[in-house]
Amino acid sequence: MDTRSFIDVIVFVAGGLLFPIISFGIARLLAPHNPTPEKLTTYECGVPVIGDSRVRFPVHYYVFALLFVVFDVETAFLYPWAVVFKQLGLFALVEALIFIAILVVGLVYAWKKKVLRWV
Amino acid sequence: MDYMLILPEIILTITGIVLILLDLGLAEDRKGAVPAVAGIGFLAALAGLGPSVGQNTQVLWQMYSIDSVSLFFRTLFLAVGFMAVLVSWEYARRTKMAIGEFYHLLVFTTLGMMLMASTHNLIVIYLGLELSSISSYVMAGMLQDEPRSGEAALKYFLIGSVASAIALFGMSLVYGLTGTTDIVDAVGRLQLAPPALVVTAGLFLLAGFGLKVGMVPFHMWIPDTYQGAPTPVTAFFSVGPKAAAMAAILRIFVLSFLGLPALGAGWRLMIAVLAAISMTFGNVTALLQTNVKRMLAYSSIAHVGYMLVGIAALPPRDLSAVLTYLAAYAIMNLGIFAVVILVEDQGQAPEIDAFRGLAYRAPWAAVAMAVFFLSLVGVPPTIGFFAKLQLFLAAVDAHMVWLGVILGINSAISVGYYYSVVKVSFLRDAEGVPPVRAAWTISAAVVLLAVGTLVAGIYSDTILRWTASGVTLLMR
Repeated sequence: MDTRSFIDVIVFVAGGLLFPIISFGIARLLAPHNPTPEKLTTYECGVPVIGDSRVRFPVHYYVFALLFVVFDVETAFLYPWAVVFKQLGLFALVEALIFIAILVVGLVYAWKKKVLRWV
Repeated sequence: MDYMLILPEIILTITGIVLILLDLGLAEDRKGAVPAVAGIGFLAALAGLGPSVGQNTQVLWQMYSIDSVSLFFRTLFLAVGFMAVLVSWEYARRTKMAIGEFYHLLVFTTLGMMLMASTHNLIVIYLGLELSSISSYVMAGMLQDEPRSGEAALKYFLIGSVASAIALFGMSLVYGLTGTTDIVDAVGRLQLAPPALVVTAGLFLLAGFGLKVGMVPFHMWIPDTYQGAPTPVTAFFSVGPKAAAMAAILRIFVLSFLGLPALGAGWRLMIAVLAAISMTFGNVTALLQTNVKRMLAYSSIAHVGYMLVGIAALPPRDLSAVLTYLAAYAIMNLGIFAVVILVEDQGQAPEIDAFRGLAYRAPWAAVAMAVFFLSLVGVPPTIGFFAKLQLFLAAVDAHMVWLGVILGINSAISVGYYYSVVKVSFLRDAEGVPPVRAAWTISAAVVLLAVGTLVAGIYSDTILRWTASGVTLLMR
C-alpha cells in the first residue's frame, strides 16, 4: 500500500490539531484578562441573551428544510442534464419533465396540507 | 423494450402518485375509495409482471436485474402489498388512521422493496432500502393518538437509520476495495483484497441488513416496534421489509462473501451460530408473552433464525430452501396477523384472553387460525412443514446435523406458545367477550390465506421447482 499518501494525512491531522492549540495558547499569553458577566455569556449575535436555548420550538423549520432538500436535489439532477441537453435529445427531455412533474406533486401536496403557511 | 420489463414498478409509482392526489382531492367522507385504488394498483402491477416471466437480463444500464429471483421477490412483495390492503381496510376505517397517507406509503414501501430485491448494484440496493425504510418509519407511527405507536415509530426510525448507515459503510468499503458497486464485478476483485478489510466490509453489511431482518444480536427493536405499530402495519413489516432485507443478504452474501475460498467456511459457521441463537432466543422468549402481537414479534425472530439455517447450509444445497421458506412464512404469518386484526376489530386489545371462545364466536376464523399455527410450527400437510423440511435437509446435506437438530427442538418449543392461543379459543367459553362481526375484506384475507397455506402445502413441489430454477442463476 502507498504509505506516502498516509504521511500526508498524518501531517494534515497534526497540523489541524496544532493550529488551534498554538493560536489559543498565544492569545492566552498576550491577551489582557478582564472578565465581566456580559463577556462570560454565550456569544450569539451581539444582542443580549433572552431565556434558555433548550425550549420547544416549532417543527416548521424541519419541514421547510425537507422541502429545500427536495428542490436542492432537483437542481443537482437538472444541472448536468442541462449541460448535455443537446446530445441527449427528446428522450431525456421527456424524462426530465416526468421527474419535475413528480416533484411538483410533492410541492402541491405540501401546499395543500398547509405546510407552507407560517403559523 | 426495457420499459416493459419494469412495468410493475412504473404502475406502482403511478398508483402512489394517484393516491397522493386522491388524498388531496377527496372529501374526508369519501376517502373510502383510497384502499380500493391501492388494491387495484397492486393487482395491476402483478399483471404487469407478465413480460418479465422467463426473462434473464439486466436492464437500465446493468442496474436492474430481471431474473427468476427478482421475479420471485417482486411477485411476493406485490402479493404481500395486496394482502396488506385487505387486512388494513376495516382497521384503518375503525381507528381513523390517515388513510390517504397510509396507502401511498404502503405502495412506496413495496416499490422500495422491489428495487432492493432486483438488483446486483449496491447503490440501487441502498436506494431501495431507504425508500422502503423511510416510508415504513411513518407507517409505524400512523396511530397518532397512541403513545405506543409513536414509540414504535421512533424506535424503528433510530435503529433503522443506524442500520442504513452501517450497511452503507460496508458498501463503501466494498467500493473502496474493488472500485465497483456491482456485486458480480466485485467478487473477483474481493479475492485479491486484504482479507482483514474484506471481513470488516462483510461484517458491516451483515450487521446493517441483520438489523433490518431482526436476527439476534440485532433484534432488540423488534418487540416494541411490532407491538406498538398498527396491527396491519405489523403484519406487513413482519413479512415485507424482512423478506426484502433477506433478498439483499442473499444477493450480497451468496454472490460474494460466502463464495470466497479463503473465508467462506468461516462465514457459514458464523451464520449457523447466529441462526441457532436467533431460533432459540425467539422461541424461548415468546413462551413468556401474554400479548399476542409481542409473542408473534418474538416468533418472527425465531423464523429469521430458521431462514438463516438455509443460508448457512448453502453449498451443496441451493437457495431454494430459503426462498420456499420466505414464501411459506409470508403466507402463514400474514394469515395469523389477519386473525389477530379480526379479533382486534371487535374492539379488544390483542391479549391472549381476547381469543377466548373464538371457536364459538367465529368457527371459520378459529379453524383458519389453527391452520396458520400448525403451519408455523411445521405440521403436515401445510406449507410450513414442507418449507421447514427443506431447511432441515439442507442442514443435514451440509454436514450441519447439529443445526438441524436445533431447528427440530425449536419447532417443538414453539408449540408451547402457539398452543396457548389455540387452547383458549377452542377450550374456553366465550363469556364476556363480544361476538365477531367481520368486514368482508378481513374475512376474505383470512380465508384466502388459510386456503393458500393448505393448497401451497399440497403443491409444494411446484413452488420448490420454481424457486430452484432461480437459484442456479444466483449461484453462477
